[in-house]
Amino acid sequence: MMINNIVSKKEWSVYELTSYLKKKVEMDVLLKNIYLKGEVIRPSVSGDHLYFELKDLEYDAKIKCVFFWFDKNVEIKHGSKVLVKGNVIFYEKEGIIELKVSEITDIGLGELFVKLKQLEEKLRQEGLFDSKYKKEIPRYPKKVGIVTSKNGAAIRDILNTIYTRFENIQVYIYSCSVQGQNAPYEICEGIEYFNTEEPVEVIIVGRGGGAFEDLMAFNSEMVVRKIFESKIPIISAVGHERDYVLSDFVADMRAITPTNAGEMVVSFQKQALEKLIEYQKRIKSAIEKKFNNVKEKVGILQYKLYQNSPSNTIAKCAQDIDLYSHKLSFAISKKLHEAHKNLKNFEKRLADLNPESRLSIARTNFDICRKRLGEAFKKIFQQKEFVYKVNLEKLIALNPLNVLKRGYSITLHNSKILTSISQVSNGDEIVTQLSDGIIKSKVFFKQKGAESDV
Amino acid sequence: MCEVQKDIKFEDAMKRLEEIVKSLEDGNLSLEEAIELYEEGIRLTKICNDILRSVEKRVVLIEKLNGEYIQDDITNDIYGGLGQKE
Repeated sequence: MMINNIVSKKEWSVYELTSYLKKKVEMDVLLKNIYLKGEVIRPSVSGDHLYFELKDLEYDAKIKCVFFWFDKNVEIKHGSKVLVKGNVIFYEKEGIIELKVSEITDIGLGELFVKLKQLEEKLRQEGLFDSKYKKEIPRYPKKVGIVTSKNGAAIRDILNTIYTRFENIQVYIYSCSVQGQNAPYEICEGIEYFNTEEPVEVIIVGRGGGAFEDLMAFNSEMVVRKIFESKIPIISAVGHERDYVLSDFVADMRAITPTNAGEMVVSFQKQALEKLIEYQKRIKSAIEKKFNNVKEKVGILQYKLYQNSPSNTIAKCAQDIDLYSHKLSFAISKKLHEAHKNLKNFEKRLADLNPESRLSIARTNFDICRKRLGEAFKKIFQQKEFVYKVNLEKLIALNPLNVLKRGYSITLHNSKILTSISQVSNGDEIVTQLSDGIIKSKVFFKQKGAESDV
Repeated sequence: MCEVQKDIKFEDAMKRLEEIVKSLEDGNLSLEEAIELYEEGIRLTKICNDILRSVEKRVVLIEKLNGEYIQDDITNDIYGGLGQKE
């Protein structure tokens, strides 16, 4: 009914198309429970489910596969040859057809692989892989031989690895094909060349990664035997880490990649060189440290010696003397200063006690006294003068001369004023003083009594 | 075998050198001993250095052409000598 609807329509929706395709694919009985053979490409696990692509073993054709709730104990690797059972479905959300797997069987052990296993077993039994035959890889090779293709990626990897790490090494590259029919012969020729023509210390035999078939030359019996016979140690360096070839088993050392082989031949030399540089530095700094220590010790001794040297002792004494003399002179000058101060003090006091001043005071006093004396004297004098004048006037009034003038006289005998008649005797010369002169006379009489009688 | 001999000699020298470095760094030596060890150490570093650097870089490409081996020194032109066609 739906189909009829669609046919009659001109425009489809995407959903209508995907729904249609889903029905078409999933209703087809031919596409149910089919078996499919192929190579697993990029398997990835997400949760409980396994997703991968299945590639046709011969043609370039692929289909997406999904295995829900797969058994995780089954190991499915990239490149595995498998036989899967499942239904073809259409996944609308992506618009793709994929195989919903229900069973998966590893059929990787193809004929080639079986043959290889048989060869490996044979060679192992012969003892070619025995560790007792392994030669030691020189740690410090100066000359390395490489057997590989000059056009491959491996040679560049090896050279880059070697020369970025260590410069002082020689590399001889024997260029040969590493895949195809002639490869095993040419590889053997290369190994032979180094063993007979151009002796090297170690040989790297290898190539870069490739498909299983591409690595087959390194699985060939003649190459394995040649490697075994080589007198020179050989490192096998084929493909990637997961690639195992028989040359890996027989070689004296297996490198997981060509790059790794390059590391092997120079890693010790690189390390040694680094160590050498480090040792050189450390030796130098150690000896420098030693010298410095000794120098320091000598310095301390020198210092101590100097400290205890006679000249230093003298110098110390001199210093002490200096100090003491300084102290002494200080003390003295202090004393001097004090004495000087005292002296000044005394001087001042002495000056204060100067007799001059006392003299001047005394003089002043004296002047005052003299003045007072003068004045007092003057006063007394004036008084006396006054009294005198009074008396004088009185005296003048009483002047005997004046009395004489008035008729009175003075009689003298022997210059003595006579006041009594007893003082003279008769006959004595007497002098009578009058106001205008004298009269000499002789006593001839005397009589006691009143004068008025005379 | 001569190579192995050389390796051993070189490694012995490196080992001795390491001993010298350690004893020098321990510092419990007299100055005379230290100088003696230092001189030995310097001598050994020179020997080791000489061994390590005894060859110059050299890259030679060998190809067999018409049954003859042709050697080509490509030291100065490594990537010219080595093509990139797989």
